[in-house]
Amino acid sequence: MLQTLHIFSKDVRSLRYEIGVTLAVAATFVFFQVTDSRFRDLGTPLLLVIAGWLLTVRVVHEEPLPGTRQFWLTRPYSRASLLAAKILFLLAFIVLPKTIADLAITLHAGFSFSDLLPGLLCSQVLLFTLFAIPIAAIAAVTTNLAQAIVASLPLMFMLAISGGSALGPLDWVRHAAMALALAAAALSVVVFAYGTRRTTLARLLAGVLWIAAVVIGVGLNGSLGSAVESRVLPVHLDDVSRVGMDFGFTGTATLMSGFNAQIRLPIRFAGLPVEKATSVEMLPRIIATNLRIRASDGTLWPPENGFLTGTGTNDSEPALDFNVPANYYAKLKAGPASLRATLYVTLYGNRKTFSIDSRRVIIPGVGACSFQPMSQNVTRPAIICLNLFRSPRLLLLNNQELSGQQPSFFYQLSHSPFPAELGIQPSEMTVAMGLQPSAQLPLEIITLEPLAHFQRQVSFTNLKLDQLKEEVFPMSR
Amino acid sequence: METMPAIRTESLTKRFRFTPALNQMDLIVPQGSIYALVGPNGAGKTTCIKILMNLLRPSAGRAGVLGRDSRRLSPADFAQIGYASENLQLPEWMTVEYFLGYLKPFYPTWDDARAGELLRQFALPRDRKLKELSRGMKMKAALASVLAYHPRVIVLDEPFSGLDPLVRDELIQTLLGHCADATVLLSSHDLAEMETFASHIGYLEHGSLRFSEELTSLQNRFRELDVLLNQPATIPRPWPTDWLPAEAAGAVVRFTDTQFQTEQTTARIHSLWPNVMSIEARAMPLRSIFVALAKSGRKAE
Repeated sequence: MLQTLHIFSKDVRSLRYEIGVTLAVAATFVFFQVTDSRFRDLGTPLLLVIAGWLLTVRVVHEEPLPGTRQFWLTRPYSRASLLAAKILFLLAFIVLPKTIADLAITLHAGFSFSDLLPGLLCSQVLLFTLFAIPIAAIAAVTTNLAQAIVASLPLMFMLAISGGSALGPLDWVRHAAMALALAAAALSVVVFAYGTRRTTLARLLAGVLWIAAVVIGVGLNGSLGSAVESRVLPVHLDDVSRVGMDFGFTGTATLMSGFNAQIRLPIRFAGLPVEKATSVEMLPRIIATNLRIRASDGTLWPPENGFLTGTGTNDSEPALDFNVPANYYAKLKAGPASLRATLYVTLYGNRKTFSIDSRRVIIPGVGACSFQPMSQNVTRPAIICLNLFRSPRLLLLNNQELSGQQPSFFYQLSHSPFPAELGIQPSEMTVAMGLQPSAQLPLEIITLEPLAHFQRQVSFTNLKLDQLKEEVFPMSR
Repeated sequence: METMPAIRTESLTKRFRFTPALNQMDLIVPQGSIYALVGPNGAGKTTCIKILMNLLRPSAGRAGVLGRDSRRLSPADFAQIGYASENLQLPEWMTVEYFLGYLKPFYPTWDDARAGELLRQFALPRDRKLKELSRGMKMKAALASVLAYHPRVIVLDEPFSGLDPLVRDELIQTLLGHCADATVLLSSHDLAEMETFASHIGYLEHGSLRFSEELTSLQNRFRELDVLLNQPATIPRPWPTDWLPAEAAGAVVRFTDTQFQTEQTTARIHSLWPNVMSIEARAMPLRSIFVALAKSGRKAE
């Protein structure tokens, strides 16, 4: 313990300027967040990441593990104490400042301490295991900044592939699996590197585990995510094969400047297991992937070797949305078409109602919501919600939306059961719900909880798309 | 009872991919000795020392320091071992004083008085950062940080390389003044200096230890011989293996005997050349022995 503190205090002295810069960046980050500056999303979050990366690499490189020339290798260093000193440093100058910054930002946003505590703790665990430790692992198998930058590129690639939200609220399963794989890989590399100081093997281990994490991220398909989701949600459906699905005939085809047709096919559900739910209400929402449509002349869209993914809807009325070229739309109208797709259906219930007036209202599972009136810069009134360490878990609707009149502008939803997601900003706008210009306070909004989930391969035939209501965009009023 | 050697290697072998660096090396450094490990560049001296310090892992065989396998050297072992090298990367941001102060808590045997004395002897500026020191001053700081805790074993890898004679002399004098109870292993090309203070010497070539013995014994058995014949000299074949390759010029044959004993060597010379007029045997300085061995090694290649 004494040696750990001794090495730690040496590191603090050696890196005092870097620590100062990191703390200054963290303070600026807080300032821009709480003053709601227009720069809040621009520079400081990225600067904070860079400062944290640099400080982590520098502290590990104070006693580089690879090589044979470092003075400390032949001194009575206990490598366990050395590792403990580095972890203590990361906790003191990466995690603690971020904790204080997050606390300041979220308290200022109107959240109470008891509201934010689970997310705050979980967020710092994620920061430590998915940011600090992976960078420390990179630093442990490199000797200088240039090497560390190059070695960090695969990590950035991993972040890039973790994006691409094909399954929307279900993506948390893939993210959680990747995060678990990354944390396990990074911890293994750090422990192995400090335990054995065998750099070649540590680098090999890092490479193999990184590939494994990427394979998990890329290879974890929707079926597995859906299976996990259906088990995690509180209502387990015994026999989803009884649920019937059919297209309604109120669909639309919006012709987009003559090049594309945006088709919306509402889906009617029958036999939903409302009696088994914790609520009498089971509002279905769908996400579709692997969608493919066949015109009456046998031509397919998308053509061979291509699938539409990510189609779906977040609106009140479950519907299938997809785009086809205008000339293919003409073929679809010429005769009965068929369609097949993989549908991910989530059933929502446990309706709760909240009243929004001029003050900010904390809505559990969503965040801090407030009414934003029209102004010079705002052309339309809206309900704006700031999240708390994670995307909202609950579906947020207003009464108008439930009647199908107003779609949300923007809504990022996640069914993750965890109180936080890895992110830089503890609280940011994740819901912007557009309202009628005539909207009056107080407004009544509704939350719906995800209760059950199932996946279904569907195939519909004899679709008469010539019966869709055609609209032209931009629509003339 | 035989005392345990301070350093011992057994069949120590090291390969870097397919390049051999050490080949079945057996080395014994007796306790209390000042052992000079010499050899040409690339002979494997630094590799051997790095294995002893657990900086490299052996490919085969074993190396031990103070009875402990070098791969298992613990912090407690390193508290009794002092290591300095010409290539050592010191924490350059530290001042000399902070460097010594930082190391102090690692060593139960740290001697503040000795550390202060070493700083004075080496005229090291306490408040100067290590990165601002000259090469010689850095080596002095490294040596001071080693001698300050009375290590039982001191390992120095080319400590005098690239230093001016004055600094070298200063380092050697200070080392000798503070290593009375320690075993010292040092590699060096400075053979003249080695001769002045080493008690044992090992000659390493192509990863193999050609000899390892007390310096006095080595100096006694190596002689440069000039044999004057009464006719133009020829080199007999086969040539004795313990005599390094000879050179003949006119009636004189010159060679180095590696196992010189006056009577036996004289008798062997007379048996090879019946017409010997005179034999002159000269004691060889260490540098000459080293050069002769290096040359013979190259010829053998």
